[in-house]
Amino acid sequence: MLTIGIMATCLAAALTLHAGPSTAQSNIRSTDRAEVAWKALRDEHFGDRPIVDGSDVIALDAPDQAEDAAVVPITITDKRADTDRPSIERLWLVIDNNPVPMSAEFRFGPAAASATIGTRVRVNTYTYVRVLVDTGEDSLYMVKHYVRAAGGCSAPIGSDPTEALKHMGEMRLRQVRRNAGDAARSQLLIRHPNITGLQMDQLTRHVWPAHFVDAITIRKGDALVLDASMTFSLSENPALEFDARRGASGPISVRVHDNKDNTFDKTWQPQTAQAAHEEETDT
Amino acid sequence: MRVWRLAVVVLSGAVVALSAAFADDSAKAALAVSERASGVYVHEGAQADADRHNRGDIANIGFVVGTRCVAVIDTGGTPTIGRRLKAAVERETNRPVCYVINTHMHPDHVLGNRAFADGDTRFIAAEGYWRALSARASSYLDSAANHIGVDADESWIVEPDRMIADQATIRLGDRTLTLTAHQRAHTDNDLTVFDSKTGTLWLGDLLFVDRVPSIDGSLTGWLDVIAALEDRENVDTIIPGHGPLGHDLKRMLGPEKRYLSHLRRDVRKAIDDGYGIDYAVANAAREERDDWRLFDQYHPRNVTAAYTELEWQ
Repeated sequence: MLTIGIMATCLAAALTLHAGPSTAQSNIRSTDRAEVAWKALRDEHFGDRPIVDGSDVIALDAPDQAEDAAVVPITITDKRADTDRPSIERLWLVIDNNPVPMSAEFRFGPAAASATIGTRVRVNTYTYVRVLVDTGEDSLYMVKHYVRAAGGCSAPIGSDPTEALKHMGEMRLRQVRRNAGDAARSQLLIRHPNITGLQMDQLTRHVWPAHFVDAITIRKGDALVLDASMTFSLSENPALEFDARRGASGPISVRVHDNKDNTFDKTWQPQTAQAAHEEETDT
Repeated sequence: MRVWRLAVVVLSGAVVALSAAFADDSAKAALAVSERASGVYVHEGAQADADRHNRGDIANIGFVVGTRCVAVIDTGGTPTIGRRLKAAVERETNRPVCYVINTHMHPDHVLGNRAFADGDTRFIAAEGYWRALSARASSYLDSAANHIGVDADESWIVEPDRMIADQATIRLGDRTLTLTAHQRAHTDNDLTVFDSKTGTLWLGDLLFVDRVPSIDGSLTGWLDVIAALEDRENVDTIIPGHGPLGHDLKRMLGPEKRYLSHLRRDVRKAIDDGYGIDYAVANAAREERDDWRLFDQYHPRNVTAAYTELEWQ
């Protein structure tokens, strides 16, 4: 019954926040209430390390209003790439009002061209989504975006879970971009039901046990692109855009781990990745 | 409401007369139905999202009367609508309701079921219906409470007596209904009903007319189902899940087929060109916008559903 409690609380929070007026000039909410969850999270995860505005360091693109709370696309753009300023070493994705707010943590290695990433998340109730980065400087940098969406964590499992298990661990690598003219980035797609553990069958009281990808490591050759850990906040069939250094040699290899201790490995030889890239730049 | 109506009863005749003006809206009044083929009665719901004004009466629902008994096909978005549908049945015939057939698990079609749940009525749906409905029941009930403004509880959810994997026939006396379960399309439990006596085909939400289709199953599956249905012969009357009835099956399916085809074409192209979901949402099948009601409410979500389906094909 714990899950009901969580969902009920989230719903109440959603209604409360919805009642407030929306800010006209940006989607940043000034109400203290919207920041309550964050104050506790900040102390828990970042202690007394200073956190300053990060809008010159990173950009966070997310919808103001999500079409599907279980599939909310977000893009985090690294503005320090190709500059002389200290580069981003670590990055945290926090969804304040999700059952587990600390949603993902990324560490970038020498084969990362930038800390730019994209993924799709579940949003359980109206919430700030925030990104914090560590560049090795004294302060952490932070940006945030308010997203109106509800029910993403408890949304019904998209496909028959037993059917989804048959394809679990299949992976694809392709090239994507947000808009015409943007540089193409690699996108990893992973088939995984990514069950949150909050998806309850109301009538049978059956809760599908949590089963989700909790770690992704990407290498180019021997060099690390990124090492990520995450919770069930990523959508079913997780997607992860990343930016591997073009000059680095060797195949792209991916290791995916889930909370039931399954490991999935896949390697793409350079010509495959390169061919995909060239095809992309030709169009 | 009960208290309010009681008060009206004890008031003067003038006020009582005024309350009569609301009679069509009252919980007891029989739902307006029309006989669209011999013994086939249909109530057309509002072309809108469920709200306090339409009280969840947004889907096409109805019943077929045989010499032995009656089959109800979908029951509306609340037990009140179900009761009013039952009153309409009782006004048209004294035969019992032996079956309630649900065309899929969406709340606007099934939350009236409880009105028929006492007695010998058997509930029939397609395979997959109960799993899908159980998983979503709490959000459907919350949504009814929030949008329609009613007290919704789990008693509104009725477990089917029988689920059909492929095809089945049920007899109502002089007429036989053929029930067909389909592959994943609008949902994963779409069921169509054909009455051979009058050539009436109930398509449920496999057919949306004027109102934009919503994808809660599979875009490609839906297009496959449309292709299989559109050349079907001996169909004289077609009952969509939403929107006006008609007689030309292929023509009625045309706009929906065009919308879903445009959506598939554009989302595939976005994926092939390496664009993400947000780009697809902003650009796919925008030319369809003026042709559909509720486009802005449902189209972006359709694009997201299409994208996450097609990117694995």
